[in-house]
Amino acid sequence: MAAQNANWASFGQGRIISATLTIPLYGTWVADVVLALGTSLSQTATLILGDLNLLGSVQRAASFAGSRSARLVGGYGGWQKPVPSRGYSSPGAVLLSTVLKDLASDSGEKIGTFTDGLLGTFFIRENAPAQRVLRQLAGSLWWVDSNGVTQIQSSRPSSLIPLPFEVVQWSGAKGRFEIATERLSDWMPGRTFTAPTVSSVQTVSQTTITIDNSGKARLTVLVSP
Amino acid sequence: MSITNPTTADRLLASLRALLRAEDPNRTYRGIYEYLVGGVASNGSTADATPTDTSLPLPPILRIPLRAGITGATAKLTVGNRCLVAFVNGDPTRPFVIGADPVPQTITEDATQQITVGSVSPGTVVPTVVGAAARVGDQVGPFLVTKGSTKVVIGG
Repeated sequence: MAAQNANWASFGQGRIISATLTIPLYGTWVADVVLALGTSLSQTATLILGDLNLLGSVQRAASFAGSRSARLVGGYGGWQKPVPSRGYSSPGAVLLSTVLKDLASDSGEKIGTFTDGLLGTFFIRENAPAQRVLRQLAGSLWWVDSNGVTQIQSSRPSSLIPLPFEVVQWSGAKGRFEIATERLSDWMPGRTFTAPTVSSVQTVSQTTITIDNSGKARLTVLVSP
Repeated sequence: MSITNPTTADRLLASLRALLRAEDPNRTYRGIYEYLVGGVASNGSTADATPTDTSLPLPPILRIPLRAGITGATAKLTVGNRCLVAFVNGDPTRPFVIGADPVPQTITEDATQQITVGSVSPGTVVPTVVGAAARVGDQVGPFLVTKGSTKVVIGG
């Protein structure tokens, strides 16, 4: 049985000493992290920041001066991989699910449930990065969830973020809020929030969590106009 | 594309390409590609074809429909033809053959004065035309009349 990781910020079993995590409304999240030790990382592991757990993979990493820095992406890192060309044809119709399942298999990613549909009598998949094919099939409406599964939906969950949290700063010009909260996991793109100092309900479009060497964590969100 | 020693310019270009692709993910499907016909449906309406350039990012395609491009005209492909494949509106679900290499044809006339074009039976049948005669060297539609053992008379 693996030992419980008591670090507030970690990737796999490695303690994180600084990090910048960006979670966009669509697409995969990206985190640049610096770990305390220079040991190698598991290719896929869970990024833990407070109560936020995200399954991700190492895109790039290097050791320097006794520490290790890495770029992590959500999921299994497969959406950047090129997939070979493939032709689909059916006198009836080619199903979206057929093409997406093959795409996930060829790229090493997982896709959640979605509404199936008919593409037509053909789908000609080009030799291209898997995310480009995903964009052709699903449009821009896809994201990688905390379990590393790619979701293809018309929108993200939009429930109201409950108190307590505090709005530290609000830049109306940039549409950016700095939030003080103990529950980082609440602040996912798509969710909404309001507060006594905020005049209207806001929708999170991008979340950025920054942890510096002193252990200070800061959460900022961009909101939809 | 693999870059072994990326310069700043390489990274900027890679970012620019990514932005362009994000803006137009169907860019690949806006070209016209040469394919080699490997099979033809019995009624000639579709073809199986493979890219002639193996470096192209597209796969072999089965049962590609044909669009001759001229109202009322029909065409048939034969195995070994090189054809042009395009995608309507840059849509990866709508490939078509829009052209092909011309194959040398023979013209034969039967007893009913029906003119058959093509050495492969059945060829394209041109309806009987009356009121004119073609001479050696004349161009009859797309066909050049040449001297040979069979005289082709179009009309009476």
